[in-house]
Amino acid sequence: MPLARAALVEYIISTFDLEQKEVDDNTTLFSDGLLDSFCMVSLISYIESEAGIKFRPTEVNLDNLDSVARILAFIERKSG
Amino acid sequence: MVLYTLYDLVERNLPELAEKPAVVLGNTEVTYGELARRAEALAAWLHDRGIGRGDRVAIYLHKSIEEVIATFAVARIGAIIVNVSYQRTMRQLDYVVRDCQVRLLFTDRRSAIIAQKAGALSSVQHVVVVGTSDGIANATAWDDVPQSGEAPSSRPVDADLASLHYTSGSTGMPKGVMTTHLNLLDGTYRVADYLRNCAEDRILGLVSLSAPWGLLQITTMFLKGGTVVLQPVAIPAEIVRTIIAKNVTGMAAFPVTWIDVVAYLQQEPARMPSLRYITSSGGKIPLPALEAMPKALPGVHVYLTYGLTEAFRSTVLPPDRFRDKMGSLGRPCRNVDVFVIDPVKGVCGPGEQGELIHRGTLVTKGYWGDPEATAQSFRPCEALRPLIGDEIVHYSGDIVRIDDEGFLWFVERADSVIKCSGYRVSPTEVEDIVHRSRLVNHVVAFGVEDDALGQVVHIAVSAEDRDVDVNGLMQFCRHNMPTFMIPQKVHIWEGRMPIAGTGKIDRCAVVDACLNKDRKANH
Repeated sequence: MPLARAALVEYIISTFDLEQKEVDDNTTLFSDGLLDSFCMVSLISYIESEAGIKFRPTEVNLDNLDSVARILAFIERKSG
Repeated sequence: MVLYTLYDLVERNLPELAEKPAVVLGNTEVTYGELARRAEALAAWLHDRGIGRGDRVAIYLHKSIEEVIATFAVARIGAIIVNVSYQRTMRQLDYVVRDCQVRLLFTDRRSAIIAQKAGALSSVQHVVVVGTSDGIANATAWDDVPQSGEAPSSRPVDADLASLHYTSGSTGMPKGVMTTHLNLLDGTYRVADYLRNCAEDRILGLVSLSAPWGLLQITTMFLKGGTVVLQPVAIPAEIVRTIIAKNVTGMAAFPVTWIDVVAYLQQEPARMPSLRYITSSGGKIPLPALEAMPKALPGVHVYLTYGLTEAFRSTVLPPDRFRDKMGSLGRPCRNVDVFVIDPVKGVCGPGEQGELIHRGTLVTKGYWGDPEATAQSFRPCEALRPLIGDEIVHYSGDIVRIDDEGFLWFVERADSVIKCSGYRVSPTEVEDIVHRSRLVNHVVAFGVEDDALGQVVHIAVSAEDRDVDVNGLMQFCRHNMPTFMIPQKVHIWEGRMPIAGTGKIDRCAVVDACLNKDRKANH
């Protein structure tokens, strides 16, 4: 079940108290400290339940999670 | 060269190690020579802006090379480093800045803009922005600060304050622990000694520099001429990747990170041949994680340690006693005296328990601007008078038991400070914020044991005549609290909360009732 970009962005903004204009497809989420590792746990749960996928531990990394674009690309790879 | 101050730790490596990497972040390496040049130039610029010995300079940055350079530049001119954890909220940053009259702040563009909009930094004279400074008043961009220059030759002395480390008590707002260059250098020698650090070490810089322990990871490397490999993101897969890619030899982290890393390695074993040791502080690692370590991290020495912001790096449990004394806080490090004191019995012996008291150069100078709070924890000890007279010692607030070999075991806190993920949280600070939401009439905040995080924050709330808007309340908490402070559970209290003899809410009764209810629900 695909997770829509809009829903993902909305989740990130409302859960982590950011502004709409701060988060675009390529905004780095974790490596510059916008979100910290505490936020990672909620984000993973959200993605797993909404997109119906399961992360392997090695998949919880910056390549797959550091931006909205990367998250969506990862979900597509997992679901495809 | 005799070492007296923080900046001496950089200089001792020159000129012999001028070309050796001091700090690494990803593919960027900064040598000792370059670090000294940039810190000296920044120090010169700070001096030209009127920053001098004893002035407070705040740093509110994500883990970065800039953070390290700024830290040593401030130390170079004898100003006082006030590193505020990047996890703290803007409001808390503003509080710190006013509490110790910060004159200049280093921060990133996003934070500077948010602060400016909120009027939060009006008391700061100048801001150095990592990023562009357009649209920010009284600001200079990091890249616009000259990269060469010399500061005046005068140096601080070891008795001067090097830093303030803000930490919470059981009541009120966080307080700045006054830490001298001597405190930091003594701590550096102690840590490098028990970890057997050397020039070949490349240790992971993960812990925030807002904690003395985090700063000591850098200072121990500079003491020995080793290298710090910065790790800004505390995700297990990334940590393992960095350890392997950068040949990391040692890593320090809080229990919450160790639990995650050990769990990760149990599912995804990884060979990390360069890793010689790991070390932990800031709370207990749960037994299941400790027991899994030898298998998850084969051949890696484990050093479990204990200390407080006010008296740091106090005890260590060395690798050779990891197994038979598992769960112990260890024994005092070299150059540290600890005593276990019972108010009636006095000095406690084997098998007895009492409050852990620290004595020696590890004891810091008290809380900035708060002589009353200082006098409560930093004072002479009657039971120790025959030994040390009126010497000021530090009362840790930790109740411990001492065994027949002198190993210490944690029993409980003497006060109501909540310890979550290595951070101290004051219940009254939580309650003050919840009150500001105007969504409740009464609130009691308390800590609940948690296997992963040490303790987590729970709140019991009552709104008497109306329903509590739990969603609204959690939204308010997320907006106004650092992540580690956000309550994990909201207990709705029906009716009026019980009042104690003092006329105030009977906190114990409320907490007991909530815990009992949870226990019954779990059965």
